[in-house]
Amino acid sequence: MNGLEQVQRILAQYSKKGGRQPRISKCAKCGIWLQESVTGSRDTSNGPMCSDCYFEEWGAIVERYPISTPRRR
Amino acid sequence: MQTLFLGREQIAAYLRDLERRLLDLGSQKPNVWVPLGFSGTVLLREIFKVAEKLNKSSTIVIVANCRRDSKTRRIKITWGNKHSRVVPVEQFKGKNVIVVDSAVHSGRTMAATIRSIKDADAAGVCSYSLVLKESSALIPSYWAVSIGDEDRAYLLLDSIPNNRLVRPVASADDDGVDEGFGNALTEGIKGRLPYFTVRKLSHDDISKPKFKVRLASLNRSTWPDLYYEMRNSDRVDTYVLEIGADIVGYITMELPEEKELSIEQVAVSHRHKGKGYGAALLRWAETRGRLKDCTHIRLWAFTEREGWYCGHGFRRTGDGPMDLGDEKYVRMRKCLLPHTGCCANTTPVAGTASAKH
Repeated sequence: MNGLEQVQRILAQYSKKGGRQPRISKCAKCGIWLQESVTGSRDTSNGPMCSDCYFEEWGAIVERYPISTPRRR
Repeated sequence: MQTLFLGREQIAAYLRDLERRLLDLGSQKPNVWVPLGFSGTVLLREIFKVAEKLNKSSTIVIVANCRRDSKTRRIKITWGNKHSRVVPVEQFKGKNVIVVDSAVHSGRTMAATIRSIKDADAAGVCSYSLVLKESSALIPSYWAVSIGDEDRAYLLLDSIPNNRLVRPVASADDDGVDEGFGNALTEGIKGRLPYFTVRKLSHDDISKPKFKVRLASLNRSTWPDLYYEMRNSDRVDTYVLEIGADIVGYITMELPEEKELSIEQVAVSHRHKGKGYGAALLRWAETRGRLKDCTHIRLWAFTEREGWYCGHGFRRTGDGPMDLGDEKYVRMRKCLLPHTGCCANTTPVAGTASAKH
């Protein structure tokens, strides 16, 4: 078996197990396989998250608790 | 921020050059190839497609699957393929090894892999990456292109993801009939739809009524205030989120002279909560920060939400907390370039999660 055949076999095993993008980890919220350049990958206390879920969660927080900057008026 | 696209032809040209340089090593050329995870394996497939002279039956491929422990931050490596047999590290003994990955960001994973292979008594270890970020702690023996820390690279993708403000999701009871965004709002559809406009606050908005929120400090800030603040400073911008003729959300951000984007105000009308508008505004703020080569985002967060911010990449700065009676704030800061490790020494607030930044 040459190098290319070895690699093709490894990739086939990857995709058989985990679908098209069997990256190291899944989004802790939506379960999508994380690929940094495609989905984004953000460390959170609940595990890695894709950018879509990260901003949706942050957006929901901000909608309930808006951000304001204390000012002396 | 720059975006780099490397298609198959360009990558093949780089890989042909790699082949030539490795063949120049003669009998010392590496005969064990170690791709880092899935992305390294995909790159190795491209290498072997192009480099037929390296693609011999004597070649050994051992995949390094790396995981970072979320608590200790240590990198754990398993050899082989996690879906098949595990390869013993003795395979490296006395061999010349090359570690390959599509992109090196911090360099920590590749450095840990090389260290482990050296510990297994390999004769020599070299490395290759298509993309190298400038602040990487490890410089591979060979690499194709260097990019800045704020830059992005897309390699060999069938489709290239577009920027977007929200992830559109139709409601569960959506029958697929597009009835327009006006109906979607009045009927309370919970799906996140992209039918809105984000634009800069304009002079025409001054006379419009501003929606109220539960924060007195935000309610004191009027459209004219925000507009004239923007006019008087080239570092302050207010963007509004508009549906039809109604402004239902806004964000004010400031670009100070140092490389930190400050989010000054964000609010969404309570009538329009849950539709992803807050997410859209924050996403634009972060994108804008990257476009301006900012390394950090900072904001004043409610003290009662400090735990959430700490668990999602933010750390408390030295300022505050600020007590305004009904409103209590704490100054938070997040690194936009976590792979650089520039905030690694920032101490997390006690009792909160151990996110990296």
